[in-house]
Amino acid sequence: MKFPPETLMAYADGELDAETRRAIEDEMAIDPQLAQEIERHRAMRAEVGGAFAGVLDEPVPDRLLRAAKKAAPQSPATQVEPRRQWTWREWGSIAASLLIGVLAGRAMLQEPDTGRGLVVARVDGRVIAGGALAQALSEQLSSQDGTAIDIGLSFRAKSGEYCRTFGARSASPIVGFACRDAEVWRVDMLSTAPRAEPGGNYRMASTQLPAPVVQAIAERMQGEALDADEEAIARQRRWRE
Amino acid sequence: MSVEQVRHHIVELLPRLRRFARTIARNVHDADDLVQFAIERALLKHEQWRPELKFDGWMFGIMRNAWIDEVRSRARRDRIFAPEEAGVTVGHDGSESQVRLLAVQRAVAELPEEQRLAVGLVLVEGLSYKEAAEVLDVPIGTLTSRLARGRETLQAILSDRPGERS
Repeated sequence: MKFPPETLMAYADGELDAETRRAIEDEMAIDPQLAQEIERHRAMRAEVGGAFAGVLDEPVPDRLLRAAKKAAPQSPATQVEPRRQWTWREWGSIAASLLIGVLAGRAMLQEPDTGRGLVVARVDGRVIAGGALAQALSEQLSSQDGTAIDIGLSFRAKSGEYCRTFGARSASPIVGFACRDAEVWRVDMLSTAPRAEPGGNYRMASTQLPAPVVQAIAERMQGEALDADEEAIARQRRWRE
Repeated sequence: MSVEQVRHHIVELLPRLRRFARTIARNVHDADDLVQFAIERALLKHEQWRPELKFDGWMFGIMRNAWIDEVRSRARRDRIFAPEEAGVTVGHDGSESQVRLLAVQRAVAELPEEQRLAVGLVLVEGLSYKEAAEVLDVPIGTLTSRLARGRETLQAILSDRPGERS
């Protein structure tokens, strides 16, 4: 059996699954050249690691210790810091407008195929779901796998309207929730989500809600999240109260 | 995450931050500039770190970005290949292993940047391919091919010059 060079390297670095590992070990037993090649990778790793190991024993310069201990430099970023104390209401007006301001120019808020916006800021200050997002909010059940949008859960807000959490799958996922506002979905909160793993699970990333989003939902939610039946009924009624 | 927690983690990690910087920046002074810059950035954005992220990977990512955005352009080019600046402080007893060690450091310094970052993260810092790919914000396949090319280049440089440079 012939293994690609990168597979041998990955073997030497301990990166292979058990099956491939065994296959290589079987082959190594009968092919000394293969064993040699792997040994070369291991030796290189040890040597390069060893060449920089001494840095760990050097005294850390004072200026670096001082940098770690001094007060964080002031900047516009730190001035908006007391974010965690904001209520959802403030989030609604600040987060949506601010985040959209920050994110609007980026592709993640647009559908990759059409370039249409997933969220649209209205002049009246409301932020409305558009394109695939609006469609998913209206049509897709929480249990269904969407292609671009995942719906997490549906709930009734204390103010009576239906709300749904969503995540837009992309390399930099966006998550949030939207509430029914007459015939549209008003996006009440938007946030970036933890990144998807490379080549990995976008659904996971688009359903993990950051703490401020979870908190905002908890403050808005009336009772429990809808179960599958309740959700299906709500959809049938086009999410009218 | 509180800024105090982040500070605490940074102080604990300082020796490794310096080591990773040394694989990127090619001389002690620029390397420590890079660490200092990254510390300041990390403290500014401490809220972005969450306990489910590995702290070292998060910091390495900040360092990589800081290097690309800021420090690289300020790095003192005239010092890059100055041998006495090349790396770790070691006794200059001229023993064969010391000579070899410096040769390896210099070989790493000569790698193209993308390969150098991959080599630094995986071979020096011991990150998994997945973790290193996340730090560099590239797919795992890209990381492995950079790492493989980096190893080949190192092999070529070092077999060309087993010990010292004339």
